[in-house]
Amino acid sequence: MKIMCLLILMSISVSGQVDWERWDAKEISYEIPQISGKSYEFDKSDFSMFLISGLKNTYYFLFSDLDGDNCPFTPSCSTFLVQSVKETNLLQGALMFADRFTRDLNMFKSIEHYHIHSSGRFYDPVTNYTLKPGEKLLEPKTNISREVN
Amino acid sequence: MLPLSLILNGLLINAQTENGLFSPQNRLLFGNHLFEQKDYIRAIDEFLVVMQHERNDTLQFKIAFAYQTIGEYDVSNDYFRGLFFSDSFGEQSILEYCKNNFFLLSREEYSAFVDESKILSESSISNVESLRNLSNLSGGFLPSDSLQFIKPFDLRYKEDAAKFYHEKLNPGYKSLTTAALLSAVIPGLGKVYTDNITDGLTGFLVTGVLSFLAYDNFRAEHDFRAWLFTGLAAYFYAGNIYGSIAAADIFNAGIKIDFDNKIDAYLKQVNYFIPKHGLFK
Repeated sequence: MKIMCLLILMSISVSGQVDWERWDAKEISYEIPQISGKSYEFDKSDFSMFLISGLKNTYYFLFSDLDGDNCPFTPSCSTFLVQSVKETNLLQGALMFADRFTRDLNMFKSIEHYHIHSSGRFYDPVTNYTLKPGEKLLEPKTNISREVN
Repeated sequence: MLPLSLILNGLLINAQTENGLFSPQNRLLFGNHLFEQKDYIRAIDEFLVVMQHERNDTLQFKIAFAYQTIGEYDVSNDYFRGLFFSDSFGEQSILEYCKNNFFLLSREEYSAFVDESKILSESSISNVESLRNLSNLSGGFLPSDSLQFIKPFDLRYKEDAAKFYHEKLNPGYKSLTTAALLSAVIPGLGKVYTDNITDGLTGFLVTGVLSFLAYDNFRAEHDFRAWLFTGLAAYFYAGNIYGSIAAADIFNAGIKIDFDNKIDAYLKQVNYFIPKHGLFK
């Protein structure tokens, strides 16, 4: 009986130790993953979008890729320009961008009324500035959001 | 001996299971315990089993209330509807039914429901009308007659209702036109008007610096640079006017959201003007 018990216990312990796979060293990549996926595509939906996407790609190529992802807002200023032209028209979009750029220059913007996005940036969506009723998102969608009529 | 004791034990456990542990009385006790613990989903399960053996209004009301609390307003209404003619729960069930409809229907539909409802008694109609009047304020509807608005509210709520009405009447919105005109006169002033003071100062500095650069280059007869800075100054000047209008628009939206949130919080605080039944006091 004792021998039987010992055999069972030994077989259990041996089978417990043969599971080497779990203890193998894993190959870990320390390469920093690409977080921001910039799109260099040209928007050919109309002339204004073609113009703005060209301007944006030039900015990406000459400045943003070298300088890094430093805009304190989300969406970033370049994306804001593209989105605002898409949402409205070339003239209104350009005015919205001028206003955004001025606000970006404000050194004390943290004391203004921005909500903080989950990315840690100031949440400042295009829809708040289009002057269209029922589209305001004053808080990030990742937290609580509420649309206003 | 051993098999005999095993058989006896088995019988005992079986007897307890059949008649004791899962008896309707015990399930009712357990259901009540879950209900008090606010574990409404499991409480409903227990009550439904008990209801198969014995129907009573208290249980039905508790099931309806539990469904209401977990947001199943349609199902809750089915149970409340069955209690409209109950002696002890009739009045309360009608009020809770109206509360469920407040969540289920749009503001317009709810107003129509209150106006056309024939189930409401004289005493309960004021509660439902109070809920309708106050919720209509957050929906953007402002009745012209303040006395008519305040009339259905109970004496203890009249003052709060009057405050909300006054706040809706004078919300403190900023004028978009004024913001634009101020920024047209002095760049950035429209932003200051809408409480974005540092943005206003930045706007003023940006437009001011670009304008000075344009002036200075004109003076020095550097025409290209002068016109470049003139263009930039004009662009940022126009952008600032637009930004001031947008800032006033955002300011007004913020006021509206704050007001709606205040109404929501107040309605929760006063339990949507529905007195709590003795069961839940």
